[in-house]
Amino acid sequence: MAMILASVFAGTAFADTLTLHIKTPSNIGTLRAAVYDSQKSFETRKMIAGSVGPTIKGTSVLAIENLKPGTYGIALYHDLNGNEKLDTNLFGAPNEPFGFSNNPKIGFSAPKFDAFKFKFEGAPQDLNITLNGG
Amino acid sequence: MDRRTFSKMLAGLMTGSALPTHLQAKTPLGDQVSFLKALEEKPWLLGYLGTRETELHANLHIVSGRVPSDLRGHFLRNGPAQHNLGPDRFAHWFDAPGMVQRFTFADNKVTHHGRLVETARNVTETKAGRIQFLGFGTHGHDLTSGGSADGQNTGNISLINHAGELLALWEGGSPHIINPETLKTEGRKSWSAETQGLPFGAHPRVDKDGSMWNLGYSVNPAALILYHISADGQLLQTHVIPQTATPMIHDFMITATKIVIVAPPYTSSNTTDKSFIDLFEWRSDKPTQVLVIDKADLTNVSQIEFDPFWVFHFGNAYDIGTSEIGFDLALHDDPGFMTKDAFAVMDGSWDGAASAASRYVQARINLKSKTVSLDKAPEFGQVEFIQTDDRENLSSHRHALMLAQPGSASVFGFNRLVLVDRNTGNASSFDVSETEMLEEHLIIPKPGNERAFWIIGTALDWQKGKTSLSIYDGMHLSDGPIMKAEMDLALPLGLHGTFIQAAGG
Repeated sequence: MAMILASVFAGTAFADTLTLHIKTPSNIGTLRAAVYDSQKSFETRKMIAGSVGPTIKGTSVLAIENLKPGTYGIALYHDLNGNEKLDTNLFGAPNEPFGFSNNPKIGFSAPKFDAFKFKFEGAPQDLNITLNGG
Repeated sequence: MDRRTFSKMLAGLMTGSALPTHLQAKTPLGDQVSFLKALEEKPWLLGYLGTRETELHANLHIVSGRVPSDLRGHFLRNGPAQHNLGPDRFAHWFDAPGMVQRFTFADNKVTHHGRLVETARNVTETKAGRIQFLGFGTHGHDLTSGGSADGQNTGNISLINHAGELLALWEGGSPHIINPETLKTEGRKSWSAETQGLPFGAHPRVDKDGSMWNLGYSVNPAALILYHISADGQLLQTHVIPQTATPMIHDFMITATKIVIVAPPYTSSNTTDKSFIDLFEWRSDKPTQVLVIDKADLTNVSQIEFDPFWVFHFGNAYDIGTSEIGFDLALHDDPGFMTKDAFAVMDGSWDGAASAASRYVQARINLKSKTVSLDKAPEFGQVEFIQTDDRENLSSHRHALMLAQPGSASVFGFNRLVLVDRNTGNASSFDVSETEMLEEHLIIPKPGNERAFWIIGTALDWQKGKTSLSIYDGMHLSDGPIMKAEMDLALPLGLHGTFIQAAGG
């Protein structure tokens, strides 16, 4: 019984909502966010959670619910044409706006997980993410 | 330049008061203070002062001659213009937001309008009044790449009018469409999703059928990319040539049957999050590579190695039989103009010695012996901005026009126009006054005459604080301008231009 309680406690009691705030210039398209928990999960694009929501001129909000405490990184993009993928050019550079948690400095390639990871404590948390490029 | 003019400029430079608090707190980038101090001692630096305006309407006063009645159209020039943003100053001459300067000839008159190329970057930075993005030669710990090559795009190098669109060109990313009547930027130009945002060079070449070829170079991934765009603006093909270390390539050539790429040993050997130029290293121990590509089969490439040299600009290239190619160029010993001088004019430290010689050269590639022969013309001194007559494209051209600095210069600029007659070997020239610095001049065909042409271009008189526009008769260059008009302001020295003939003109 104690074990069951403990696992229920661990599985749900600390899980909570991460809310993303993204400045968006128009109502066009959707925002698609992915949650990663390591460099490997980011490289292989194996997200552990995600969220999709409409774009609202001004600030758009995406909620990632029931997220357990842990170290995560968010990568998101603005799906302007609604094809549910980040469009890229011949050289693999994004054709649509994108952003990362921590808003790391974007160099000539994608940032490392270490640059956009953050700690989620299992309490409601808000993050502001700035879109780049596109 | 008189004292009052200088004080006015100084006051203009120092106004950054409308800045948001978080931007005011940042340490200024670049060296505006040193530059302004140097400007007092070296008034010719006026050409590198820059403007703070996003739009300019200058009065043009004709001081001699008249505008030919059959010269009708827009002469458009592009170049880095806003060298200072708030208290910041760009570190390199090639960094600032681009501005298009348009001179319109109609009814024996000429008028001027200038407007910022409204790339996303230029609009953001102008609004913020601070430098916010990494540049060609400017870096700082707070600057970002903007997330893509186009995030740094200043649209500040050149212009081409193709398939009914006027494009402002940069080198690292997309062209921007400019309305030639309003000069409003109408958006980024993309020919396909696959090529969106890819590097697109500033010197496309137009083929006999009106199609356009261009070259881009990419550091990450390391590659060259060739574009072929039809006369009506459709992307016909792209071709990627992988590189191990990407060479910086500013210009290339086409002939009737070939594409010629000259790749100097200035290659992306470094990894850095500083400015773009910091990625590159001059390898004087390595050869300059010449790639000759068959237009009909882009995978058919001949490679020739030559002693190391640097080049920005070529004239025209042409086939000689089936195994030789002729062309001309301004050959530099090394990229010192870009890696040293173009920084030194921005902080005002330029001390009167050009870092590298640049010579007019007539060259020939022999594809059978895999050799390149160079015929140098050191008698013209330092040269740059070579131009030819578009009517002679891809054929053995008679004339090559260039800017020259014949002697030891005390200013960083050119004061002689040289027109070489390649048929006779003779050259004619015209010297502007010692207080004038020439900008690129173009050869403009005279309507209704197969061989005659005008030479049109601008110059800055740094003593008067005025930019002027001159028209020369191409057959009588040494007689001086047939029309000269002075503006009531000094434009920042720019780079490349184009001419759009008026409809029916």
